[in-house]
Amino acid sequence: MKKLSGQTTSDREERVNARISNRVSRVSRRQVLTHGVMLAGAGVLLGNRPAGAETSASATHENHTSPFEGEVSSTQQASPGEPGRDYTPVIVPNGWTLPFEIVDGVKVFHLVAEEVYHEFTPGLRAHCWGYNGAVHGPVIEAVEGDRVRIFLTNKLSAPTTAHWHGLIVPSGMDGVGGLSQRAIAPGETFMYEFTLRQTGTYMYHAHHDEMTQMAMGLVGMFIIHPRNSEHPRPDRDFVLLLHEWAIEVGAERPNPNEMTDFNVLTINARAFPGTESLVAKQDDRVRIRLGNLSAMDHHPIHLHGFSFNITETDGGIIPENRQWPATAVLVPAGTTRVIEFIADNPGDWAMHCHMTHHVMNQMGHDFPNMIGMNAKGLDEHVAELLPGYMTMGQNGMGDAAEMGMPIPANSIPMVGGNGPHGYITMGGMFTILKVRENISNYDDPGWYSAPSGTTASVASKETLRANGVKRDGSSAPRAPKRSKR
Amino acid sequence: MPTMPINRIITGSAVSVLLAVAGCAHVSTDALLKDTQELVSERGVTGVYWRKGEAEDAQVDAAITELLSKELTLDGAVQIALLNNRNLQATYEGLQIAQADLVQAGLLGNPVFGGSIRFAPHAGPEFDLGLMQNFIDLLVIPLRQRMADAAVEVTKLQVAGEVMTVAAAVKSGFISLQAAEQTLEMRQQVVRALGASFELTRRLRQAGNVRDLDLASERAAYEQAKLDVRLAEVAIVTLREEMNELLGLWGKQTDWRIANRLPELPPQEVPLKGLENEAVAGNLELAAMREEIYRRAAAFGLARPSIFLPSVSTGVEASRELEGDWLVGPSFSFPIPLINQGQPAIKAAEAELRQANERLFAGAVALRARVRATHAAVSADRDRAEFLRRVVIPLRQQVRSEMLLQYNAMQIGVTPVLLAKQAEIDAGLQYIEALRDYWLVKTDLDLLLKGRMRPSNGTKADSGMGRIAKISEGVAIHD
Repeated sequence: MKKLSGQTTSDREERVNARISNRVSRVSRRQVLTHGVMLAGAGVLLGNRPAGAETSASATHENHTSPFEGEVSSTQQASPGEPGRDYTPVIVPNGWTLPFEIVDGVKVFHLVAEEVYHEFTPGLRAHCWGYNGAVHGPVIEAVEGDRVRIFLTNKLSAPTTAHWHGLIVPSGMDGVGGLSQRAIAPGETFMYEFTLRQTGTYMYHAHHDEMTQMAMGLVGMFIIHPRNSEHPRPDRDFVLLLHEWAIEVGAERPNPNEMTDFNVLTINARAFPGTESLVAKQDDRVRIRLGNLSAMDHHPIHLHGFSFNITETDGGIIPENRQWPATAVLVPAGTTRVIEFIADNPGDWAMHCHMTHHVMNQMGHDFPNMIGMNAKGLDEHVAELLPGYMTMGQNGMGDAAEMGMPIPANSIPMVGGNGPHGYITMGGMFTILKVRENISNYDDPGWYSAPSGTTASVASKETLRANGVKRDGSSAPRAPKRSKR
Repeated sequence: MPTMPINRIITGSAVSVLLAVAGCAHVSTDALLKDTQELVSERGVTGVYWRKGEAEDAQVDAAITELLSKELTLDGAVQIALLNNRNLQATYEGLQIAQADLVQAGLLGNPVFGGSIRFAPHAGPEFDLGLMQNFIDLLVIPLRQRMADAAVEVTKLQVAGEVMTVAAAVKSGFISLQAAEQTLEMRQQVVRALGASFELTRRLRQAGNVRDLDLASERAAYEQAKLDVRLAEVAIVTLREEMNELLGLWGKQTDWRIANRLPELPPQEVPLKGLENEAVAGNLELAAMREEIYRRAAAFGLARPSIFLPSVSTGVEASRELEGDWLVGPSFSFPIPLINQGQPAIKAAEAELRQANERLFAGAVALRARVRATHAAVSADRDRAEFLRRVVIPLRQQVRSEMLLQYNAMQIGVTPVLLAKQAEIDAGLQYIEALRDYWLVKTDLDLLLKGRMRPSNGTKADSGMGRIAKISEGVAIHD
């Protein structure tokens, strides 16, 4: 885990103090001084919402030029927001944030759409489509009011575009191939430019032959931080983008034509055990931004160990008294959801999609149902014809990966990860939130050592006797008999 | 023909003269057999033995029992056939008959062969017919002997030919049996593969995981495969009995066993260059036909019949039977030193000789065609077997092993993998068939090179030679 830039213990203390005093940051005060009334007005429109205040589109039109009108006047644009000063940069497990240049007060980003040979987890690589040498695309991170200029170079063999999912931009910048703009031909570089007039968690993705290009991996997250916010900055701000792929076992390219049988499920384009853990210190305010650009599936993301609030959608912040508490947040395809909580429960906490097939790596669906079959003597009979054969699956999929059978090259069927207490029989859309007391940095702290007496283990004879429990289960109550109809 | 009444005194003196003349014609059967043995040993077959009911027969029987007690090799089987095939023994007796004829030719007043010599009655009022007959006999006996010589040569060649044919039939039968054994083994493997799939499905049905429909489908495929095993078993029985017939075995002697693997392809194939000449030079039937021509010429009193009969190309190694070149001629006339032969008889005799000559030529042309065709079949069957072994079977093995990897990755069940195994076995069965066809047609080629015009009865009709036999009908030896 990278050391968080600018996050030393003293900074944290300072911000905590700032929260308590509910003061406006030094930055926003300076901005008021330099840009005058108009900016303050813009601040009211776009960012600085006191708790409980409602903003509406009509209020927007009353006070200011419509944001949907042609050219954006430079007076609506703010000076480019700076990381640290204006926002705490987000953490992208297994990913990265796109650096920018400032040119005449405009934040300039450069995306290159190209083919990438990507590793989903050790043992599975495939030829995908990504940006700037990785899958998925880098997080584009900016601040409300920034004017951004994004160059998109197309190094694919097919025409492409970029759509800024959830962003309110001029119609011609919206990135729908054929509708908003001509599609970018292979070899061309287009320019998108607009002013950011909202905050929140958004996404970007190809919007030309979407079925193919999104399925191949041309997706990414777009984070816009508030310019002035009374909302406390979280201590840990994670960005996770969910996706699904269909890669035949032994093949090296996802099949974008697959509609129902996806077998590789990913967080930031990685499948467990390839997912980097999320690390937090005890009592950190943790925010997790979830985006879902899966072709055909929604994902109920369940976090163990905590009850969190769903605080934002891709439409904006949910007022605090309307936020939903939950332990699983459904992220429909094509949406984002943000959750926040205080990490007050130390331990290793699973976070995963609760669709059970989405936490399996490359599971095949033509394998016959072997549960409960008596396999005695069958191995020898078949092994005579197929050397190396072993019957599998009579007790489920749990020990499949541990059997160590030879499998096709470049595949991870039913593969999980090694945990501190044995094999973790999960894969796919699964990661771990590690909360620790007393850590000095956010590097992966290894496995959690539970205090003694707080780990489920074999019940001793004395314990069983003291509780009147028989080890063979005979002392347990039986389900009441159903009356005969 | 009835014996002429002869004055005893004249007969006695005549006989003594004749005996002197006929002395060289009294050849023993042992010498005849020895010549035959030489003919076949030149062609790679040894061990010809003529059962005559003597003490040596018991030794031979012991040798046969010894050979049968161990795993029977191809050479061992050929050996047993030469010693024990009673049809072959009957053929050897033909030598005895030929010898008798030869002796007969040296004796006075014996009948003339084949009725091809005609004597016009020559009567004069003063001539004693008996004397005349004696005189005629004196003149004719050398001719008769020459004819009988030729007949003996023909018989030797015929007997040698029979030996080669039986040896080749044993080889073909042996190869076919080996192929049948391998085929049975593979069909049994198929049944085991389908049986494993059925057993798995049966247990899944027991656990409630599949339907009755699935179970019935698996079982149907499994039971049906058993039919192929049954057919393979019957084929083996049939081939074994054919071998028993060839080897003259019955009763307790029929439980011999052989190596149940066909020999692999030899590293190289004999080239076509020179094969035709080799075949024509060593062909027993062509040689017999030449002898027959000699015989007929001799019957017409020709001293050197070779002058008047057309040549047959012999290549590098000239047959020892040929003396000098044979001239080609549409017609020829030659003096036939027959007393008082009429012109029609001479013309007929000429025509017979020319006819025999044409048949000989046609026979040589047919033999050459068959050699070329058989060699082509050998190459084709070799290529087919080689391709199956080198390309097709490894690919089928790869498919099966990749499918097992997919099963290990729990993407498919084991039934499709067992079906891939079945496809692999089917490719193996094709290979066995191709290898068998190769060895059978190679045996045919061997036989053509070593003296016969046609394949033996042991050759399968659908093998190379069976196909070739249909291409050109053979030339029969005319008598």
